[in-house]
Amino acid sequence: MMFSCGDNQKSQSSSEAPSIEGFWNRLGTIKYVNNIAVDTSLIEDSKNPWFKQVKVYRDGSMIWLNNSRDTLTPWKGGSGGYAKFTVHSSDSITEKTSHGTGYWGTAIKDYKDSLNVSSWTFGLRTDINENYYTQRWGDSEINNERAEYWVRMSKLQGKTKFDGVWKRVYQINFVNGVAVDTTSVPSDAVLDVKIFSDGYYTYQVDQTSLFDPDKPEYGGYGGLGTFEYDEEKNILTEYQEWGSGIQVNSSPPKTNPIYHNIKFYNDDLFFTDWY
Amino acid sequence: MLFIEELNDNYMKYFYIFFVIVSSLISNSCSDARAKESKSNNKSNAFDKIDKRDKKLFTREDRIESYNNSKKKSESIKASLSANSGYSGYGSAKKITKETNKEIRKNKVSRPKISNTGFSAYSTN
Repeated sequence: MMFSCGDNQKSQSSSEAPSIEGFWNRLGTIKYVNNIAVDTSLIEDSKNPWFKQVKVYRDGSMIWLNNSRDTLTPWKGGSGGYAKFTVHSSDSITEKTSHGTGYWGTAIKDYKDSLNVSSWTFGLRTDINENYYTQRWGDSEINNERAEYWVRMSKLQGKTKFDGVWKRVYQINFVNGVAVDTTSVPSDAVLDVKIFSDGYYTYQVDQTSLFDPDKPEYGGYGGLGTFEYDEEKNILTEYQEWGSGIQVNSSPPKTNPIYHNIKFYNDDLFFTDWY
Repeated sequence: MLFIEELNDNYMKYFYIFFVIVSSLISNSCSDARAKESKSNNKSNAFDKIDKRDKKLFTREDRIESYNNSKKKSESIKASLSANSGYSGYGSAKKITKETNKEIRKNKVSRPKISNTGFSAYSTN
């Protein structure tokens, strides 16, 4: 006798794979020879110790971004990407990247437009462990294999109402506290995706459909920081540390707070002010 | 034979009772699930008018134009508010108490000014 209450969404992840969910910080690059890790180059020991790259996997969505400056493009900040992901096992993840910022955002846009597809699919060879994971590329036959080496970022706080993946869906203009205009934010015009988890937040705003390639705004903008939420006063405080695309400013952790009035319409929809 | 018939009757009775109880339990569980689904669907009800209006924007270019027009409107509102910034009635300073022999303390709350021009709505992706 079988009963169903409706859609049963089954997780696509293998029950044997350690969880990839959470924020990860890139420590460096591992070099392989004959499938054996022979050298690890750490960012902190490199010529560019200021380089930062962060990645988050959460609820089927992934965002990564870095702060690598590019002096040749109209935008001067780093790059980032947004994808839907599936974990097949601890050594296999598929990412379908659909949007991005900086140089990577333009590469994704060009790929989608040229092939008339909605995303660029990447099969990752991974090694997922509890507190670190690697993501390998290259060809073992010509011994040019390398792997990105990531370490899990420690949790800053317990679960909040914000934890999860959000997309900006409406924009409401107010005058003297009265809503005068509401418009939807179509995903094929601009995609603003934000992930909150464990006290961190990151976002990507892909504007490649709104601006011409020679404009700085074409690079979009993204950011990474930490957040706190005062549920009594309904104030979200964000401490952005660095960004991508046209975001070139950086701040030490827990400085330059940005405050937002918040109103939760329900568990799946909240309003935040901007000015 | 009579005994077996009676046994079968009892069997059927108990099976029927068991079936009713189990069905009720599962039905309640399903109602809860449907209620939760209905609650999360409420997010779309408030914006049905907006979605209906925007459904007339058939092409991507139409949607981009609509969004850009809204942005321009917002920018002109902001510019208009800045031009009228001398108008009193907005601000975040708040007087707590006023006593004759004591200083007036202004508790400057670190909240955004009321004259903000826009809100964004975020939905679970």
